[in-house]
Amino acid sequence: MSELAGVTQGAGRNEVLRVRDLEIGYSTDRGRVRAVRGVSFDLEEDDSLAFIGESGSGKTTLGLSLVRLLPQSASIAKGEIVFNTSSGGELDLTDVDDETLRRFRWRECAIVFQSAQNALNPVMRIRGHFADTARDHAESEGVLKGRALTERATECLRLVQLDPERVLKAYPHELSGGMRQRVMIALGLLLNPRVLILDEPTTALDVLTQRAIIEVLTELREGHRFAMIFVSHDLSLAAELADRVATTYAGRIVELGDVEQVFYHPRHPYTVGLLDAVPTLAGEHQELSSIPGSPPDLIDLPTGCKFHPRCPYATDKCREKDPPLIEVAPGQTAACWHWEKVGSDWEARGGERHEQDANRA
Amino acid sequence: MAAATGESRYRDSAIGRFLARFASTLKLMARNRVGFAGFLLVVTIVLFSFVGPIFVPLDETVRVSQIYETPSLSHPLGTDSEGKDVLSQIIHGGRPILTIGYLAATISTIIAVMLGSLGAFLGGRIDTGFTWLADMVLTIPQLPLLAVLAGILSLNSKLAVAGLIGALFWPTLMRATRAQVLSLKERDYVESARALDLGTPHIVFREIAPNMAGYIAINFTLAVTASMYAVVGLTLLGLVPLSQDNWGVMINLAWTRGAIFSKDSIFYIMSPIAAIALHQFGLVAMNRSLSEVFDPRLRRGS
Amino acid sequence: MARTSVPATGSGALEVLRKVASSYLFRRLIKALVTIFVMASLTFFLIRLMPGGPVEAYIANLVSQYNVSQQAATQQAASLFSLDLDAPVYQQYLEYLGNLVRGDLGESLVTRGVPVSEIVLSYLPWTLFSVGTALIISFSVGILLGMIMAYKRESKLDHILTNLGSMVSSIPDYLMGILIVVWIGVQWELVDITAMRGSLSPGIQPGFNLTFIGDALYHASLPILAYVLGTIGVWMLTMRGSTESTLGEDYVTVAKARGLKERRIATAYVGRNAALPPFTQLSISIALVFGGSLLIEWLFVYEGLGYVLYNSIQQRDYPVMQGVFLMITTMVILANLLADLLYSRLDPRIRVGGRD
Repeated sequence: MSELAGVTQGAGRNEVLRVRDLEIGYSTDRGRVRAVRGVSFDLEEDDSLAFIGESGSGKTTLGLSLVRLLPQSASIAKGEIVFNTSSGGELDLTDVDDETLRRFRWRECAIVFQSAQNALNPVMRIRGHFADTARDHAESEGVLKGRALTERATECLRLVQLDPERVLKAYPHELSGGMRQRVMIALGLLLNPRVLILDEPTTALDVLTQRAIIEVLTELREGHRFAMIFVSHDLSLAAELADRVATTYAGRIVELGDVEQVFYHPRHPYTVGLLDAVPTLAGEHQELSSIPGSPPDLIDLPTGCKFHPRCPYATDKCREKDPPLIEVAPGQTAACWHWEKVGSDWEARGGERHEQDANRA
Repeated sequence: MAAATGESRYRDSAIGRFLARFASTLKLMARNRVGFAGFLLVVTIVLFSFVGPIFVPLDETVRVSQIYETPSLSHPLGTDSEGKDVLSQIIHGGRPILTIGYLAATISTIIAVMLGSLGAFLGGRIDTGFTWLADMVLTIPQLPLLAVLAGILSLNSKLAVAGLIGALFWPTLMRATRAQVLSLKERDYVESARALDLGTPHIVFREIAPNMAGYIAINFTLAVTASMYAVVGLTLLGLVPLSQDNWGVMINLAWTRGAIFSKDSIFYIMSPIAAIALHQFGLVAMNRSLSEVFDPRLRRGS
Repeated sequence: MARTSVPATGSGALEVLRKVASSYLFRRLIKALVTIFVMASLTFFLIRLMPGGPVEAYIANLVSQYNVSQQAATQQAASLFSLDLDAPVYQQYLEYLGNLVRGDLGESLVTRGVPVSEIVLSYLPWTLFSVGTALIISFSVGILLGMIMAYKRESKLDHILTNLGSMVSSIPDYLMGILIVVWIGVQWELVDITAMRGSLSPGIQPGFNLTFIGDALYHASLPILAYVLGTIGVWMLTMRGSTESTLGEDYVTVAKARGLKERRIATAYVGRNAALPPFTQLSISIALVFGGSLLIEWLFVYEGLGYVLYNSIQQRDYPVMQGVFLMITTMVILANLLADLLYSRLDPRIRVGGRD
């Protein structure tokens, strides 16, 4: 079970979420798309885990599956998603009835989607959104309405640096995109969930708003005991907000570990490729490299390691056998047969890296 | 782009493109069975009414002993209040109504397309003006106005009736056309035509129009349904003195002669109603399938 | 929408005025008034000025048929049509407009001495009642069915209703009325058609009591049925499409993610938003239904404006024709304004005080 080595860090401390061997597929005309192919990870109470990968890597599907919001054409083929609820029970999300699922959603685990452009009901004021959310979760929260609701909503809005007086009585179209995104986060916090999932929280926003959102999220992390899961293609987001990072490729985690470990000492060629592709703002003009080739067809995957067609280290072994997650350092795993060589090549470029890191910090 | 042979090649190509699109449209339509059935229905009824009278003479014989008979071999749709054959009346009764209906729809469509595309294309005051006009005409209750006009002027020419109807039913079509042109206006090929300074008429007729063909067809079918509503309504009220018997007049006679209240005359009263309803339904079905063809978002899952 | 900044004016009243003038509501009102004005003018010119037109024909008729002198005939026509026929045309026109504003629509030619305004006002409530009720029923039932059809997409129910909807919507409302009379009344004898004629049973007095209202509803039920069947198809189909696209909207998915109850999502998130596009089509329906009243009231002998209009056309009672027509037009315009106002209440993105 080397697969699980390093997955659970300080296991049992206060585990909130446990995912094992999750496999999800979509049925399409052309065949079955294997979007998630065996993902396992743990999440602690105030952990912050980022899933980083290109589009099509399965990270969004993974995020959606945690609240069972996958479209009709998708199905969970295998695996389990076990959630420890705030009332102390365990919930296997792969096998749960509709009403339990409804109550679970938002109360235990909230998800903020990529673009909040259209996430709010256009004919309803923001206060109404809070009221709706509170009302339909009355069983678990006790009825939250009237002044108590306003107070709580005000609190949540202040947490995301919005002016409650103005925002509560506004309609969605009266707010800017960034404000709407923050309203969604505030709404997410209303019921004190144990996990907050953020799917591309800063994509499609301008740089200034991105900054504001990141500030908000950083502050939230410091003040509160909930776990966060980030899904993004943006490495810098992970660097700022996550404790741990998992790089995903073709539906699997290919490297997992502490943020600092993975970014300073990557051991998977894909991670290396991602790091190389990030330009530094203040650094000297450098050669930007992108990973050659394109992501694989998830219906017709290559044999062996799915990254081998694009990998500079590929050998016959890679073409034949798909590597599991191997422990490459305490608390860090990578799915590569040649991780040692990857590592030594990376450390050899050490001098260069340190300079860039300094600029990035 | 040579000016000399420009003219004829221009026309040929525009027509050629249009015909090619027409053929492929028919093929696409055939995929939607209901729509195609509708199309066939409409074509059948139209042929029936325009070609039928050549083969089937109008039965003028009064047979007092055979009033309101039920269908038989000699009278497939029974007889009317004077013993005359109903089927022949139905065959002959379509032409005046359909002529006015299609004529009015053509006038309507021409006005709508012209005002809509010019307005959308030229923008500014002209566009606002046209839109205002459309809004105004839209709030006028059409049937009462037509009825009042029929009362004040005496409408005995088909063209006059068609013209009046056409002049009232264009606003909705115009809005749809305008919306379509507005969206086409932003497309690349229009932009490049503009950059090459090819002139408004060229742009409108050569670049935009062929892409509008589908929408014009949809609008036209809608216009026909609307004008048929008006024509039948007017003839039903007896306000349009057409020289021949027609479907509307048949219903009117059924009403004024009390046929509606008798049980035997059911075929006499239902025949023209069925003819009108089937024609309308065919048009609506056609329209839906055309909409699916031209607005891919409406297509049911591929 | 960028507004160039307005320099602070001394009086706040001017600001208010400017705001009102640029507001949506104001512009709609202006459009409405202009339309009525145009219609009134149109009827004036048709009746007064057309060669061989009603006034001239009336005079000619009196002179030839009744041997009245030209002058006397002119005088009679003048009083009946409320026109001063000796004055120049533009003056007559202005007088006409002035009378209109004061509510003077002339007198009936057929029933001498009865002011047209009286006739119009006495028949108006019946039409408003039947048409108004029908529109409300048709719209509400239509969007409800449409929503059900969308939720149960591709199911048997959906297919049946869709086909039924298109079939019914292709039959004109007046033919629907005839079908009702023929089948429900005569062939199947479900109701007593003759007893249902008229808008009120003999002997019933108008008043706010159950007997009156019940009786009025009884007589209006068939016309209402005809209107409803004639218009419901469109609502069903439009709402179906609208609901389908609303179901795909982000905020619906997010609502599910928020763990909201299905019923809440269906009403406040889906229904509420999906009903907006069909609502915008209400204006077309309003004109259609009011227009159809001409035939349907004739058919069911329902004594409303349409009925009066038909009779006045038959009898060539021009002042009544004109008055009733203007009233119908005004009602359509008012109904549209009401619908617009309601819409701006329903959709906060379009608010009355702002953009168009």
